Amino acid sequence: MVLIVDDLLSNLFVAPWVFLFKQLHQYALSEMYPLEKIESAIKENRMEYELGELSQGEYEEGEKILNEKLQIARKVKEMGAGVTAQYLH
Amino acid sequence: MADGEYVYCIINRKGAPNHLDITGIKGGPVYCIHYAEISAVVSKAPMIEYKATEENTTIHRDVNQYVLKNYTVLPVALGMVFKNRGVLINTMRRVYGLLRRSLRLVDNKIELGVKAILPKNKEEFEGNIEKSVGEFRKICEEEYLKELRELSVETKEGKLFSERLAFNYSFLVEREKIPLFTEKITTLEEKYNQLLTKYTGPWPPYNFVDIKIISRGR
Repeated sequence: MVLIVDDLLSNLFVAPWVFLFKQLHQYALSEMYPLEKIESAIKENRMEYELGELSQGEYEEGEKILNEKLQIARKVKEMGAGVTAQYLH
Repeated sequence: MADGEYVYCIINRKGAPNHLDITGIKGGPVYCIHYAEISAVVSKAPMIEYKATEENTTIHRDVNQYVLKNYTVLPVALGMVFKNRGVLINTMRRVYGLLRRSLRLVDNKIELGVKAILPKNKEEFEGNIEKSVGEFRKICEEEYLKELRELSVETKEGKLFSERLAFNYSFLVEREKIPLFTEKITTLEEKYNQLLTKYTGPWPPYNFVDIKIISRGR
């Protein structure tokens, strides 16, 4: 009985902190991978290539790096929705 | 898993072909599925998620550009695959009125894009203009808009995704006015030759049509 009460109490105290930690982690990730800025950078990279300011190799290298960041940024955004949903459940 | 019907765009049925001489996503031949007065331009493709990769985007865009040569196009977003012909036709039936109205709005019209870009060498640019960069941008933008709006049905402002973008607009223009529009751009480019002007199109009216179709059975 004592152990069950202890478990219940620790969940009530711990859960909000876990949520807060996850939110802070989520915020830090979204700062590192800002979705809109990465999308803008992809367009800018393309624009510079079309203006002849980048070689094809430079453009493709930039595109590859930015698309990898874009995939991460999209996952971070999905995770953000997931974190809130987990807490509500 | 059986292939579904991948949709590129919607066109008027009048004059629409049954088959088109172009290859679509995953190498499938492109053809039309008709319903009442409209037709969906489609090809058979696997029922998967289609990411906006360079390859997928290029094929989707190329099919739309091909159709645009001869037809008014209502573009559909990348990745719309319907389970089968029946589901697609049911969806077209459900949103028929909306699609017809949208086709009428963009009938015989295309989209043209105009971007004005500041040169990379900022110091040289500032030396070539007699005003501040901000003032110069404003004057150019106002004149471009004033001249080009006269030849357009509608204008949409685009995002300034780069600090070098002075302005970014899309114009919905009647096909017959394209030569006049192009002539106007040439005149403005010569006048504001300190800027780089990027003039693109014709495109399907991507920025003037926003139809979201959610099919339960898709």
